[in-house]
Amino acid sequence: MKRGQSNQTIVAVTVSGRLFKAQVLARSLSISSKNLSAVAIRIGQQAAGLAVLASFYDELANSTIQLANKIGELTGSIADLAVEEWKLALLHQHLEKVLALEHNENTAYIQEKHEYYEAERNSKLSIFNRLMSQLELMLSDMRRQMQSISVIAVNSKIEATQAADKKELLFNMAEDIEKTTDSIITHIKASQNCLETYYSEARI
Amino acid sequence: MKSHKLYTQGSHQWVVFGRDESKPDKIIDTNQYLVVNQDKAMLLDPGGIELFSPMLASVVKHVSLEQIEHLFASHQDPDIISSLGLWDQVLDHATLHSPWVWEGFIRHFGMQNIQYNALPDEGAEIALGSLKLRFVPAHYLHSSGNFNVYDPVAKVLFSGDLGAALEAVDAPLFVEDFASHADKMKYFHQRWMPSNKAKLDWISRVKELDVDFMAPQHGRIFKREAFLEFLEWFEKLDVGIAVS
Ligand SMILES: [Fe+2]
Ligand SMILES: [Fe+2]
Repeated sequence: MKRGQSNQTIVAVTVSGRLFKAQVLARSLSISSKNLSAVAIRIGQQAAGLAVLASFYDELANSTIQLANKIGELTGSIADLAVEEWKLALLHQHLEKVLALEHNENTAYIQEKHEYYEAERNSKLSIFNRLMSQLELMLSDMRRQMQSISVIAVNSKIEATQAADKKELLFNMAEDIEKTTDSIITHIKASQNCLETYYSEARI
Repeated sequence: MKSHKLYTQGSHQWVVFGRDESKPDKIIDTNQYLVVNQDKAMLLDPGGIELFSPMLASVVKHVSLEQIEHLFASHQDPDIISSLGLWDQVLDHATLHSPWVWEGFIRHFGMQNIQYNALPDEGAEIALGSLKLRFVPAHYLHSSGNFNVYDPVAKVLFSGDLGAALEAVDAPLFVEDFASHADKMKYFHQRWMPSNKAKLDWISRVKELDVDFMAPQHGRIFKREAFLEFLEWFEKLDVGIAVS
């Protein structure tokens, strides 16, 4: 595989692996938020603020799961495209050699094929670029969502300290949510870095 | 890549391609063959992916791509058919004839356009223009599903890895002195061919054929006399030596 195409495949599979882990974490985040919400409701009026925050986490966690799902499909298509493009690049390179070696009435057909596959490859490349920018947007959406969860988690910890009952439990639950959120953010950042490295290498 | 016309009679031709000086040193030198009859052409053991460009450039010196309607792969080895994924993109209506046992394996080289004709163990016959070509069983020599191709008009037996010798790219095209050539074939046949039973079975089958040229996928081509000497030598040779 030529360096360019293998890099494309590597970006796609790296992001896909990271996002898979993020998705697993987002699921546990959704469960933690449901637990927090249940405890807060049981406590009643004193923890009403927390219950509202918890339902908010749950909503964000679910939309993160969906987003991670979509990114998974997207990275799958990107990896497939990278391989197809690699095959076309290989063919293109071989046909170029044939044309350099031989020129007669029979090679006109090879010339035709050569041009056809070149066009095909360019169209694949433009789809690839479009999918990559979609991926970039989705990753920043996801990061924004996670950052809002992180902010709310800090507020939840403060709310927890003000509850009369089960202070410690509530605090720990909120802290757990905060930690999970941070791990998800780490995976998203790593995916974004991977994209950045790919683009900076592609420019060289 | 060099090409040489082995047989020409009207529109009926056998062309051998090989002795490729541009090939990387560490890959084994191979002979590829083109059979033409009327306006139809067939490539026998089209070769590895590394040889695709010089091979295609040489082939179009003789026929146009539209004429190539058949490919043949004697067995599944990469030196035989790893170029398939590239041929698949440049041939619009072609069929690959190959042992049924290898279909699921050979498809890994990439086949979107080319059809697979799975050859049954007992062999088969196909028409190329007005010519009838025969796929002669040569199983376990060395591959467990393996065929030779026999042309009864040109009297050419394409023998795949049988009769193969590992030689320099500047080696002559024909066997001149059998005794000295045998040294170059001995280890290959003993180590790569697994079965004495299969060997004897094949010898008895091809003894019946009228052969002017035995054309292997590696090394030199055997004319009638050398072919008979080869059968005699091979019959006595103990094969499958990696296990005692
Ligand atoms: Fe072989
Ligand atoms: Fe071989």
